[in-house]
Amino acid sequence: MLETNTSEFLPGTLYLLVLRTLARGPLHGYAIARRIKDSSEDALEIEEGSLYPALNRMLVKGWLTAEWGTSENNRKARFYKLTPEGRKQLERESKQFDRLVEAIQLVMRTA
Amino acid sequence: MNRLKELARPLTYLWRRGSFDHELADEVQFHIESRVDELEQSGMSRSEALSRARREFGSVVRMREETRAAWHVKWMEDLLSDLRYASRALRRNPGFAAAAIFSLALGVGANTTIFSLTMEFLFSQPSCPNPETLAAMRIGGNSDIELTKYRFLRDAHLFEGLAGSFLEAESNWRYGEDTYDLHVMRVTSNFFDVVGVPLALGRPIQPGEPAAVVLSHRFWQQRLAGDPNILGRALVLDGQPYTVAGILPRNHRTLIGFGWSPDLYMPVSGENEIVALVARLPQDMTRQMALPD
Repeated sequence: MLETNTSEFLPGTLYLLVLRTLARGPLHGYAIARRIKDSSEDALEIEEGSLYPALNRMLVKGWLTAEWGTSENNRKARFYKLTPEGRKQLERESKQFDRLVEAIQLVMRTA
Repeated sequence: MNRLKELARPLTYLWRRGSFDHELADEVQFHIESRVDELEQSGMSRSEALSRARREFGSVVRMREETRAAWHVKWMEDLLSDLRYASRALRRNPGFAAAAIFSLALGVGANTTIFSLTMEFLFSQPSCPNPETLAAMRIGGNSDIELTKYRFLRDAHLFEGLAGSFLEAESNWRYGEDTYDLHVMRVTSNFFDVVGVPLALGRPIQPGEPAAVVLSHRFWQQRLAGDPNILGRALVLDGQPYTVAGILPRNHRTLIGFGWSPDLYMPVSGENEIVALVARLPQDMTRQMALPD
């Protein structure tokens, strides 16, 4: 119902991107958005307006935990961390995503 | 344990709602400041960077609403699934369900009963001044005595006042073409004088007045449609006209209590009627003194 991701994204891919980004270690919200933007070579820009609600939905689902800490520029920031449940979800979602991409590519080649 | 934690998570949100909003605001603040730092490093002025960062972030209000909704939805879903779980468990075990419902019902019932009785016995008073100086009297173990005996006792002036009433009386009320059976309280004509029952409208039955009635508020409202001109009119009771003298207040409580209330108070008529006695004790007479030796 409330899965409102950025319009350019396939539904549910925001979760996948956040989970994948956090797989390497805890990050705060700003760094998550930054990291996704950088590693996609500026192709994917996450709207802040959907990032924080998504992070909270993922907290509710138990995929993430959040903790207050100090950022690299010495400010109070909230760091998000994957839970074991979140790691499992990441595996599931990446497999699903791979299948989806393969399927789309098949259609693109044959149709 | 896991289940407990699952239950606790949204509850924690409810308890910490204020700090939740506060934390989210801090987070937004941090996000915007980080962006401002970045823009400043690329050569933008601070104020320019700040307004740009705010613009990029978009509506904080909408974001906050959506974030809160995430937790609200979770809370509702949890509640629903708990209810489903509970009803499944109960359906699977109808004996237990019946026992649980029965004990709850019994508990609620007992509680209500005790509360009502306590209200009646300990906390409620009849509608009259100084009910502590009123005493019910019995002669020779009978709750009611004949009018002749009553008059003898009344005229002996042992008390400040002595009145009689008979509460299980009925009367036929002729109204237009129809006749209705009313529950009435028959009282000696000095009853209102001795007991001091307050009225909402009109006057009480006066001592020596044989054909006046006092209506209950309910009877006046329901059977006479609250007719404002009823005072002084006559009701035909048992074939005789009785003048409506007064109307009791809505919250009138009889001396008996327990929610018992007659449609109207009317004077005793025949010589062979019987009445229960109620005495108004003089100021210096206690109940102990009033008791026979």
